[in-house]
Amino acid sequence: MIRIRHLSHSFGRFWALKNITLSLDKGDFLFLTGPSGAGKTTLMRILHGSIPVQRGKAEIAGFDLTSTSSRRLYLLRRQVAIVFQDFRILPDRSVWENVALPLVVRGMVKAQIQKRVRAVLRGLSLDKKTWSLCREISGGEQQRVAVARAVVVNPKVLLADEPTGNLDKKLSLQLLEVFRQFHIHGTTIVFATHNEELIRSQPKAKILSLKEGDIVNANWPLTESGT
Amino acid sequence: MNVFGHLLFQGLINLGRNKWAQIFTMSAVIFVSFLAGLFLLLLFNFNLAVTTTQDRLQYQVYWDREMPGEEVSEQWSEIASWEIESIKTFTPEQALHVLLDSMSGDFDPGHLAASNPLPPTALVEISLGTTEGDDPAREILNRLEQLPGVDRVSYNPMQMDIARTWLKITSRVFWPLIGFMFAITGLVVANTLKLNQINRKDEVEILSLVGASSGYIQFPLLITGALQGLVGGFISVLLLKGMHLLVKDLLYFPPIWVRIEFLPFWYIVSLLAALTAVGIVSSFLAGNGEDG
Repeated sequence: MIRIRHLSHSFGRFWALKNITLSLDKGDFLFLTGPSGAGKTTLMRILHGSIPVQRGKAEIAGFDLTSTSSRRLYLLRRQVAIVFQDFRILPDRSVWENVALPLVVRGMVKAQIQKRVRAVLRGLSLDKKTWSLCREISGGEQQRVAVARAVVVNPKVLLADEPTGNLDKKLSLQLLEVFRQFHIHGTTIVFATHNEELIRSQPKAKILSLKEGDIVNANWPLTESGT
Repeated sequence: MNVFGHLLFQGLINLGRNKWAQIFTMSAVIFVSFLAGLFLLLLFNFNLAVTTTQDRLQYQVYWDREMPGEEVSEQWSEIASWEIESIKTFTPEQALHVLLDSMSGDFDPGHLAASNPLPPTALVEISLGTTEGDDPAREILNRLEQLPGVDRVSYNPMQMDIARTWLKITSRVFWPLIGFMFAITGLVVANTLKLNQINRKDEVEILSLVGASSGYIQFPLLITGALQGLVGGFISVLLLKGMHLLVKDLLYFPPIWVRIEFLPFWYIVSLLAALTAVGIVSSFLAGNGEDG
């Protein structure tokens, strides 16, 4: 589902990623961990097509990121959803509008949109906030809206860039449970966090530690051949 | 069609978002267009006044006295078919009558009536602004002089020079000024609309993140930009018409007698089309910069 070979990325003279190689299969759950500046967000953004591949190769959900043109990125993003720490939701729209947005842009029929959005809002305990404007709900609720918007499309891959960074311990565990439910249904998940408690709560998950752009630890062979 | 309708609706809905930003943008578009329209109105009326008063040239044509009247009449008919503004013709009798009318009361015309010394004449007037050709004044003069039986053609050389000068001024200044004004208006309006669209970059970025195609993102932006340009332009034209109604008789008094005319229909259509196009192009540029 994700194949990365010798991926490097620099911002000016600063190398955010250095020669990263790894593979993930369908249904894997990966914790991406490491201190600030380790390269987690850069890796996430490359995998979502937000920044182009500079060196090396990266494939995700059947898309070769080194050759996918910017005009075709939307096809990738219909398979690969992302959740950011800073939510990236539309504050002047309702919870319903935000969650329905990815379905609306896909041209899905209204009845299907209603069915899916209702189910996801219920699953994330947001059904009582359906028509609230996002700027009027709490930070934890906003984060759940961001997660709901990502999972409502049943993505093949779900990227989460420190989604629990603004949440307390209880809410963090609740949110992880939502991700776990989608993982059970076959979604490949890449979850960036420094929260060790969350990592410990998922003993079967793969863990990759980054530091200053390098892989410093991984609990599985990084490629099929181990190279 | 469903998606098209939805995107069209989104373009309209966008006008209702960020109300204050939209109000300021629309105000800027209206006032810049209004100022451009005022300038256009001023130029148009100046050009109109010049072309209707300064570009006329008159030739007085004299035929031989021996020329048969029928042949002269045929030539008058031929001249009337040329590209001229007007022709006034005088048979020797009519010319004498006009001359006698202009004389003082103690002049005895008895001996003139018996042997009329005046030839057939015509007063030919052309407009340099509407007559085709590189040098229409010279061309008409040559044609008049070459008519059989024409004795001489008199005209005021200074009048010809003045008319030519005005024509040069209007052709070399009027259209470049209008073009320059359109360019400035386009730049100001384009930047205003572009800034307004860039204010929505978060929304554009989020749409991109959730899998919207560039067409899906850009089409509503283009609709919004087109509407802002068109509606802003339309309101500015209404303001301009109101202003015109207030000032149209401002210069209509002696000795000026100039009535300010409103812009012709195709000027208005051009202004609105230009503003709409500017709205579309600036929105495209703003959206394109944020895409992906």
